[in-house]
Amino acid sequence: MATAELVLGLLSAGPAHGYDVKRGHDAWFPDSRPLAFGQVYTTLGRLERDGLVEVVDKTSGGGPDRTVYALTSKGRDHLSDWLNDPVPPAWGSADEVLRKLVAAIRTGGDAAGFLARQRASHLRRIRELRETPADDDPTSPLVREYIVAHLDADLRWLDGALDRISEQRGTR
Amino acid sequence: MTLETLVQLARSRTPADRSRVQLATAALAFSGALLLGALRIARLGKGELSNDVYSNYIAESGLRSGLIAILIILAALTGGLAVQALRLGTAARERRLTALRLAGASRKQLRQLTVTDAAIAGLAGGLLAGPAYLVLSLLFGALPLMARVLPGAELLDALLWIPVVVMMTAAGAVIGSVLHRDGPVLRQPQSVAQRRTGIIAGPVLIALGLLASPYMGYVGSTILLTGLALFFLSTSGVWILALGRRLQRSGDPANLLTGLRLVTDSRPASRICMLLGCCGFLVGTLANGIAGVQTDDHLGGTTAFYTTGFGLTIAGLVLVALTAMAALIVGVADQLVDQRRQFASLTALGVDLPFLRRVIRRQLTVVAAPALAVGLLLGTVTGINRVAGGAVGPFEPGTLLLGAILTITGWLLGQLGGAVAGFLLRNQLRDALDPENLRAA
Amino acid sequence: MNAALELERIEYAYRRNTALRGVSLQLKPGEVVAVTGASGCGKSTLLHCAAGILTPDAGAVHVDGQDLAALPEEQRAALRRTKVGIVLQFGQLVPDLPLVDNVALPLLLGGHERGEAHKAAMNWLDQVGIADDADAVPGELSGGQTQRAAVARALVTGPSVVLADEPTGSLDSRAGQELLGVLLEAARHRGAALMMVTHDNLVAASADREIRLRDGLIQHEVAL
Repeated sequence: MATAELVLGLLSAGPAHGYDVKRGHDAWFPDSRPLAFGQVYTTLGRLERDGLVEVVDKTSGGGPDRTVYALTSKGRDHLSDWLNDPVPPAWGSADEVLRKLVAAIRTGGDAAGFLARQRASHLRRIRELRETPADDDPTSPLVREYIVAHLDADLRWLDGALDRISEQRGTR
Repeated sequence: MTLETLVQLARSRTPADRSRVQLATAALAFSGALLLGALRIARLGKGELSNDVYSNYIAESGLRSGLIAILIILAALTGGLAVQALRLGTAARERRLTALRLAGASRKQLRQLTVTDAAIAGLAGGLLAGPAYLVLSLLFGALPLMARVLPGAELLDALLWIPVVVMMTAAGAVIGSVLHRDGPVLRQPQSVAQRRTGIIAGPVLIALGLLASPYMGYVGSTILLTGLALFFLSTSGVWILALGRRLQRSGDPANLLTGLRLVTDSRPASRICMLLGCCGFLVGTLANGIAGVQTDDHLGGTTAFYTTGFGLTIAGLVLVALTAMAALIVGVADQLVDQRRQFASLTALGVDLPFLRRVIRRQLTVVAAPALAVGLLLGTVTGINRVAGGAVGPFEPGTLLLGAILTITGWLLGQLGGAVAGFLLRNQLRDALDPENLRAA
Repeated sequence: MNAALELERIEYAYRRNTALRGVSLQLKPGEVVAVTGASGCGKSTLLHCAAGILTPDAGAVHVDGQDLAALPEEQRAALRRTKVGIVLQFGQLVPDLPLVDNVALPLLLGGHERGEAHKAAMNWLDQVGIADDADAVPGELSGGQTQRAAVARALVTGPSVVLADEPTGSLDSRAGQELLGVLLEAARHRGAALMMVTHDNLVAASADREIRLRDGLIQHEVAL
């Protein structure tokens, strides 16, 4: 799960409360399930432990919702590394691609570059699956065809996303 | 490219192409036969011959040269038919040439292929010209003495046949070369500059000819006729487009579709227009001549003499007009095959066979009827004497009446031709509307 | 080593719109490149320029180091015939010629004897798996079979570059996959560089490199 990196992305605009992080996430993914408060604080705690975020302000006598977090430089590097890497094409990888794309656009990252690398990664995976010799196994070709069909669907969406991003850049 | 390859690739094996080449071959064979006839008569020498052995047209030395000229003109006209025949199926042929170009043919090779194709048709036509001449001379031999304008064939004709074969082959090659276009053909039958020249030069020549004809005889009349032809040639495209646009504004769907078809491809229509206009003009001048002979009692010679002359010429002209009409009907059929996908999609819009027949008929008549009528009117009013360069006074009222009658007849004939074409093409139309055409590209 | 195909800042405009605004690319011998992009991005125009079907308004096309524009028309046609093979979506076979003649065409046009040309054509028809249909005319065959013949014809002269414009575009997915296999195998067998213009991701997946065009420019280029 990439909730941790998303939280880093949400903090990249500037220091924020856990509550703001939750609100930000729900605004980025209005059609998805809202992020639970509990998950936000667990994640922030883990990130702080790993040195990716730091506490910059703590209102006196406040609980966790009174704490203001900010990205460390290590956290910023981790975020940009994450945004650069295409998602390994596998089952259910589409969610992750979507998270990265939204984060890249929202944080002003190189969304088009990411999409191009993601396309290449998907295409490579299709070729690998294609080149795997068919054996006597009765089910594995079926599974492979299923994966290829889904990767193809992802690729078509990636195509459209690329065009849409280029158009937005063109009109701006 | 080896010679074997050249010949193999030049000869397309599609049925449409085969009928196109057959038509051209037949026309060139007829043309060659007429040339052989002209050569046969020319060999009779310059002296007067006996009226009891030969027709007057051959026996009298003055008339003989005229007859030779007429045979050569008819040969040229039939050659023109071969040109029309070779122009059929342009779209399909262009696709074939594109396919060859994709296979790596150079422009020069494509030209070679087109020229070879036409030259082979010429060669076949030349080879058939001999037997065709033999048949013609036998047929004419069976006619009354006055009408025997082709003397019987002799052994020497076989020898002269060889140069005619060579000539027909060369004619085919020239036609092929002239018709061949390098690169993709632009959908523009004539350039604007070309048209402008015609529109300006045409009336200038007409005026010049009218002024000069009383003094300069047939030089003047030739100028006049050239001016007329030029004017019509350059404006036919314009008024066909205008006609098409007017039809497009009509509320009747059949008119609308007709107009659309005329506007999108005005080439065949403008060809119909020119051919029928010319035929009408020639028939008109002859009719005027016949009327002149009928009313004039002071002419020497027998009526049989004149009737034979005019009869033979009109028969020849009718032959040319009929063949032209046939070629044009083949052309429309060709267009139907080419556009069958579009026609089939019309079926989905509820277009049925009678409706499409109405469209095709209208497409032909809207051009053919006025062209024939105008040609006839101009021909009659101009008269054979003016064409031949005689000094003729102003128009007589009788001529105008004859002109009016012929104009109406021409109009009706144009309508009839369209109806006949619709009838002859009914099967092609049904095939074109077949929804099956929507399946494959 | 010389590039098999080199396009230098190709520009091309149709009467109403500009299709290419300066596209450069190189194909090494044996390389497979997929050119992708939305409809109207200029990818087919690029292929037509590379094939010499269209003459670019600006820029140069080099095949095996030879500048196409520098050659007289006759030699240019000969170069296209011998060094460049073309596979289009459909409609490139001569409709009235049997497959064997269609495949032999580039050799016949190059002045080879019929017997010799037919032998080479039969070889390639066998290679693409339709030797049994050698005497049939294109209209009698399925789309997959005619496309196989097109592949055979593209390779019969032993070209350095094979250009394919939506080679599987007129086929269903199974026939398309089979044809793609035949095309890749044939190009590999000959060692020719292959440039495929396609909007089909499954075709693009088989390339070594993807070049994506947008509005007549290269949007991105990635190794696969």
